[in-house]
Amino acid sequence: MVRYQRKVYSVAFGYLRNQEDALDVVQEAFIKVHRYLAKFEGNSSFYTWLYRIVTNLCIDHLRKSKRHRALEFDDKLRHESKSGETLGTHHRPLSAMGDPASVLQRQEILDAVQDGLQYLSDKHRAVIIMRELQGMSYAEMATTMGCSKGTIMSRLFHARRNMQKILTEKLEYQPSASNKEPAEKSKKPMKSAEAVMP
Amino acid sequence: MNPVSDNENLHAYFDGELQDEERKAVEAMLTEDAEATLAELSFLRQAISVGLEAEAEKIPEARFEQLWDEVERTLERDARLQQAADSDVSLWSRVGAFFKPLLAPTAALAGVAAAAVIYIGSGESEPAENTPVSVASKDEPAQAAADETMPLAPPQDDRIAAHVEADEMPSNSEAEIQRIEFGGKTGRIDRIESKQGITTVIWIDDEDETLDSERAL
Amino acid sequence: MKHRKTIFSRIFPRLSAPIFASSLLPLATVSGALLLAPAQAQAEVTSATCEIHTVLAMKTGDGIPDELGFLAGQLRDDQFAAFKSFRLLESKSLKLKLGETGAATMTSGHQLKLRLLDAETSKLKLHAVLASGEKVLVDTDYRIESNGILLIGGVRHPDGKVFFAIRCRGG
Repeated sequence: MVRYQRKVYSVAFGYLRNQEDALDVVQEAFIKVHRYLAKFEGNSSFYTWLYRIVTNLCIDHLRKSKRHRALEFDDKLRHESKSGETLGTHHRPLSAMGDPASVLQRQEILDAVQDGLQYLSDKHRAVIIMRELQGMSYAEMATTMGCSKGTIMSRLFHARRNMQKILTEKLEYQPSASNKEPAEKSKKPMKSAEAVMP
Repeated sequence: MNPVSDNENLHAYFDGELQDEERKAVEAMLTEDAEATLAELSFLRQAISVGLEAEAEKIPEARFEQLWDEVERTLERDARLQQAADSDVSLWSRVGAFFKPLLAPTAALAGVAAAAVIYIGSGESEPAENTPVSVASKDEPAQAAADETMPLAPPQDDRIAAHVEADEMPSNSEAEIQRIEFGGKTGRIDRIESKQGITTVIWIDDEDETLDSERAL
Repeated sequence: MKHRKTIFSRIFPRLSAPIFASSLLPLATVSGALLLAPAQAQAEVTSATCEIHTVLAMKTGDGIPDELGFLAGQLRDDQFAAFKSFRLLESKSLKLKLGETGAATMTSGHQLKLRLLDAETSKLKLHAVLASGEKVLVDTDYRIESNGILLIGGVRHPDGKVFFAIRCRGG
């Protein structure tokens, strides 16, 4: 269980954006796992099971804390991004900044990710974490959030677009010595990005 | 399917959520813009994952040690409470159980004394009979529970449709378990708090295998 | 006759009989009343209708079907987090009179016997025995609000785990 502690923390922090809240959830999740371990069968889905417990705890926590500010911001973003715009063409594509492996070492990228998650609404942040970090299927996400798969698809679509927009805005004015490409539309995918695609 | 550069279907394709036919259709219509979108989605996913892992690395190991100490304390407290709950039900139940054997003789004695006094006081010549006032009694439910051969009621047409309304449930439907045996196996009593109120769950450990320590996982 | 003069009348010469009787009678009455089963003394209800729902919890699949909506809150709890979907296998109904035992045999091979031990307007006391063939899995006495649900489960099934939702209504 110890080896899962940081992964579980990263999920909880993704949802809650607060170190102590995230640690509280990690603690509560491990207590629940110990209590209900007898009901768990097999090791193949233990990770999934653990993640579901963490997710439910985080969602409960968010419901209790009722953070409305981020929700308003998210609505504004949603209205501004028009359908038909592509992530890769309207703004300077992040994948054009260079080799992702080295790009993602840069602190400004990591900070921008945290800022982006911070600005998303609870629901948008939840679908981003569930999909990008936990690898949950749309069906699992729908069950967890008590909505339809269609709603999940829509939320995820808009959440990613909003996240992309925030990241681009945060990084737009960050001069990068390693980035020698002009800030223009890129119509070709980055081959190095493909190589590191999950 | 019309070629698109970015829409929900493309995201579903990226997430591997499309059925085979849909997936092939999307692949056949991928434009350069769509491929750029896919690259961005990939980058975004990596950025989020790396970003949050970096946050997790900031937490010192000592803080997690502290967290595990608290987990152990909580589990030990759970175990103590469970033992206390298993040993007896409530103070009043214990008091009642203690005095229950004394109720019958007390009633009988009081009845005898009352009858004797009344009889003697009435001046009749017949001797006071040592006959207890008849006190209605009933088979103890606990004794009935111990009866393993439960005679059955006549068979009924027992199939129903599941027309159960959640709204009909009482706000607190937590069951008070007064006695339980697990048929040679182990089990556990849990409770679930939900919109339907509190529900008691009796879990039966229907496995033969033993589990390893969770820390070894 | 001489032996009719009791020790009580010597100690309490005049008022012994009525006073002593009046103090003993309530004691006798109270003790007797306490011995009377509370059900018979207080019961306004002498029967119950019980529903037994057999639910299969599976590690594959997709969610909670509409027919299990009445259990949705419980099934979403962390205790069921290991399961991805649920299916209602069957539902049965038993009508029990006080002291009577009803039995339901499920297609899963399990048998559930329920006996109504005590019944008031809002609360029921039941004896439940869940067995798999000849083997008793759990034998319990419990008290529950009328219409409340008790879940018993975690028994093996080829496709997952089975549990039983028992809901009894007085009257």
